[in-house]
Amino acid sequence: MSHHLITLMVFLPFLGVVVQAFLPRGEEQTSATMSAGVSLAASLGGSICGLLLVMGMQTQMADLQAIETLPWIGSFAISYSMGLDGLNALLVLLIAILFPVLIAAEWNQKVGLRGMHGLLLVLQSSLAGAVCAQDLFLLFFFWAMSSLPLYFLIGIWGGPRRETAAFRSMVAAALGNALFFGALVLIFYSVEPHTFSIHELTGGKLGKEAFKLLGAELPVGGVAFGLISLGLALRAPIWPLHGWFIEVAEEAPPSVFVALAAVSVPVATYIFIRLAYSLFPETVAQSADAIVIVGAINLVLGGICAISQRGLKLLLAYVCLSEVGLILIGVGSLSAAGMVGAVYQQLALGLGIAGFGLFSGVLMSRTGESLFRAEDGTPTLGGGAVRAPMMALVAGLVVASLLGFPGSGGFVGHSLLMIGSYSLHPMAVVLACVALLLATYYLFTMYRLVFLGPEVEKRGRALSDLTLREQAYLLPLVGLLVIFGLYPKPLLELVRPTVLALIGIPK
Amino acid sequence: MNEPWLDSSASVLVIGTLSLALIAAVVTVRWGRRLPRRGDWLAGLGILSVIIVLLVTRRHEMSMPVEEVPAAVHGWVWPRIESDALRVGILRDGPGFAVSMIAAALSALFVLNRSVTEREPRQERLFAAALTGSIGMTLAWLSLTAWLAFGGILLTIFSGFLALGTHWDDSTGAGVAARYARERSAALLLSIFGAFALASSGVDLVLVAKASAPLPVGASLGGLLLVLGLFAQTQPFPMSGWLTLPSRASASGRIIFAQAFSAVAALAPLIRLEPLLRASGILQTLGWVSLVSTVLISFQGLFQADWRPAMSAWISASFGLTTCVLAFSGPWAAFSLLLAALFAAFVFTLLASIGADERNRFASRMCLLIAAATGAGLAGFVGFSGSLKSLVDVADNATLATALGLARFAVALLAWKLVWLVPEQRKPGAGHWSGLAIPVIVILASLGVFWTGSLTGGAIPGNPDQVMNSALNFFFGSPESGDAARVLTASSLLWGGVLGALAIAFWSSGRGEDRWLRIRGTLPRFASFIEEGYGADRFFGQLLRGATWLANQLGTWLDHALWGRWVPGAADWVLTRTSGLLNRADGGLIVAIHRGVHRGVHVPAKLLQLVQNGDLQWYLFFAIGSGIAIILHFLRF
Repeated sequence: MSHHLITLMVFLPFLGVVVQAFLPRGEEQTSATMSAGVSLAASLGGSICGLLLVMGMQTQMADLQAIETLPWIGSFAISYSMGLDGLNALLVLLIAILFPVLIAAEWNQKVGLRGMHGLLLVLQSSLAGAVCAQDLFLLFFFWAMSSLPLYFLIGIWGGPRRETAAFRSMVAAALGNALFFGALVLIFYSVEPHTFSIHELTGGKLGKEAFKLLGAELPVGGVAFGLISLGLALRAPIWPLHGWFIEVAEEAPPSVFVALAAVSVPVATYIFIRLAYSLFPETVAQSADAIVIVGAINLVLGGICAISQRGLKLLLAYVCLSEVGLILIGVGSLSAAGMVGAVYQQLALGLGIAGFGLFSGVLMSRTGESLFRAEDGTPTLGGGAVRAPMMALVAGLVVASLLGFPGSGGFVGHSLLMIGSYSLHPMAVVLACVALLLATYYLFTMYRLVFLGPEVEKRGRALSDLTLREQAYLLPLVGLLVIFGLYPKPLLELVRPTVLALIGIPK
Repeated sequence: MNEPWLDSSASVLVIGTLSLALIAAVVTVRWGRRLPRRGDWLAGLGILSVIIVLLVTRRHEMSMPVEEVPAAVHGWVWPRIESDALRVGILRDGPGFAVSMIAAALSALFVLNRSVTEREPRQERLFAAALTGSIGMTLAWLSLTAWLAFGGILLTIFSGFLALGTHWDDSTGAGVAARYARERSAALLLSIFGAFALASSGVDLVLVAKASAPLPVGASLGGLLLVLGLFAQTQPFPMSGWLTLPSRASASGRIIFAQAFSAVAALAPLIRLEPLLRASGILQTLGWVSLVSTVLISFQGLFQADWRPAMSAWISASFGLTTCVLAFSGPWAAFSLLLAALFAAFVFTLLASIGADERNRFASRMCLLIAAATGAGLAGFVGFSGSLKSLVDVADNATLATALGLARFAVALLAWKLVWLVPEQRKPGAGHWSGLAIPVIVILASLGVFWTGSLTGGAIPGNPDQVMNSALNFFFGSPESGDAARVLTASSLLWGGVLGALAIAFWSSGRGEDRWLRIRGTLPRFASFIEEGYGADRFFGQLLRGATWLANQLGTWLDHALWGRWVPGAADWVLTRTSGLLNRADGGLIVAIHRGVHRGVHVPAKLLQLVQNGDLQWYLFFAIGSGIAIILHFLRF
């Protein structure tokens, strides 16, 4: 059964898109409900496969599990190769949890419901495929495909400047994908026999290779690593290439931004970890300091920029930017604790950002307001704790996790990251502490202005609490944040063996 | 450390009960308005369950020495045998049991005190605060490692936030609650980061007192962050601006849960890690910092016109003094002062909150006096022995003894001042019988005899009035008695300080017009500077404005200008220019090719045109020319 679960997980959402396209168009409300039902069922189907995969994994095992391999384009040694190990298991879990939630969040979408759900399903498939792919070409295929649905989701359902935002996101994605593909071609032709298999390329084979360009001999490993890093940095919000991300944050609908920030961004960091440590261990060992510096810059600048934000959307964007920096610090730590922390933090970050984005979306849909503070500093929302106590509870738990309070998923990630990184990069950890203390300020300020104090009289619409449907997808989300914080052992036992095996390569 | 199987089940019982109690607290907050009596029975049930589980699990260990107290360790983040693991466990020793029981009892008494709670608009938040505070204190004091203690401190912070929640709905109350949560959370995170640094350096953060080697070199920063973060839970200078913020929230809730409980919870890891911190010299630094903070805050409290901020300042100063005594004397003395501060805070604030009428005026004034005596460290109460011991331990160091004596004096002065300040500002109204009965119960618990075994609380050298075993000796071992000269010096300092403070307080506040308020009137700017926290808020406000300005500049110049306009503009200019250039070049090339092709085709075309246009000459020329060519060809062959 587990032999085909990955394929089912990846392609069931695709199937949902196809079925949805052929659904009869009857009366509008019935048609919308049927379409939404099919989308949710397809997404849940894929998610259940993902959950079964993760639950069926053997702990204390570093090797790939649930492997599926089929030759695809034989002449270029491209195969359909999928597998699961400690590095990608948590992301499979994240995708499995979040995408049905996003579809449920858009249940009442009035405009183009079918299209939106279809695009979300395509995104789910492509990200799941990118996460599980063990062939470089296949990975690129799914990864590049994931940028398309985002373009349409932003460009059609976004805000007033959606076309600009969608265009910029596409330009960044296209550039990033082009650089990534260049690296793939370089890697493919640098090894004999030519291959795209990550497993066969693992172990520093590329480190010994060189190629000539305009008379100069350049190392394959270094150049390919640089191209891949730059390509992924354009897709994840790595400073200073994050401009498109900020614009998308302002214009994209909340659920779409959650799909980007909470899923696509962690997938980008995962791909970086996977390829960097497997294919370029020597380069990673030499560039560890640079990775940490980039992470620290991201962390601090994201934190500083968040202080002045007056709106929930941009605040979320800068929080995400900052947290990605923390993950990079763990990646550059070259220690087991730091790396495990980075992997675990991807899950905690994803759930936390999703919670934040979704409750912001509910708040904005209720009040028509995304700003929580006017230019003169006066609150524009306020009183949320009285009118919407469940929303206040959800927001409180999400803020606690983002700050890394004990008992939350964020604490586990932060603890491993900082413990693993402190001995080699104490300054970076000190900067991380400063950034998190800054985060305490702006997140608590946001909470105070939104949920405490008197209600603002001139606000457009009244705030009401979460409906049953909203509670159905938000409460489990924050519940998981608490569970993963109190009892992280099962997940850590999945991640650790793979990370230990991977860490051994650069060392 | 023993790890018998039975201990695991006891730990599970404790954690399970605390978890259920926490759920009860959440239910009380969320749905308390719909529950009968606003959920006080649910909160009471939760507190009772905490008390029962403490008694049940402690039953077998009452007579066990500290070294043999069982504990169970579990790995939380990573398996427990790993060097980087975050371990958790429950340690059921004497001090932990005592403080947990006291916290639970005080929480229960608070819930029972109708005269305090019935006036508040959102009583369910107060009840939930009492329950959560009790859970947090239990967790912090029963924790075997720092990690669970941090969880306990977090719960006490949450308890304080709930206690301030009676007036979340107005702007001022919301500001006070948010600032409290923000500052305390930041302080907690600071101590957590310090703990991470220590764990990274291989330091085992197990909270069992034992002789310890100094911290490794790289871990000193971690140790400093840890202690400063924990000390910050007492709301010291420069965080004292919060103390004087006006708020309509329940004063007793604010002082007991928002201040006292979280400070006591934070002192748990500090007291338990004392050997480690002392060996590393960090405690000395903490001692001086807390001493200066104590004096500054005491004087800040003296200038307050309202009893609420004055009492808040006194609480903060008391716990600052406790920290200072921990640093210079040790856990025995610190624990004694901790209990004194906790009991006095509870009694003071309850008495201040009950209505004042003729029937209870004398009794409540007497209780206030006794509460101040407890807090000031007068003989007969639990705080006296700790104050005396701390002064005995530093008697050889004149500077330190003077400084500590000054701090003791300042705290006592503020405590005595409250005796006269509170009655003037109490609201008139009939007090409930529990309003006086409960403080009396707590005053009895604060008597020195129950903690030191001595009727006078250790006032007489040699303790000839010892009537029972000393609980403090049982918890921390018997302290060294010190030579007669040191005892004499210390006693003089202590008696002189406490009684001198009483005299000055009476002279300045007890005889009509308050002289401190007169200074306020005469030197308003000076008084305002001290009253508002020595300008710390203004300084941090400037820092924050600077950070916000920097953030705006970064956002404007980097995000919007550089990456939003200039880089895309430059890229657009380059691409447009290049494209234009290539376009023109392409156009020119096409034209050139076109011309070349045109020329190449034009001549033969013209020729053919000429042939086609019917000019006979040309036809003849062509015919003749063709003929000659054919003839010549055949002639060759």
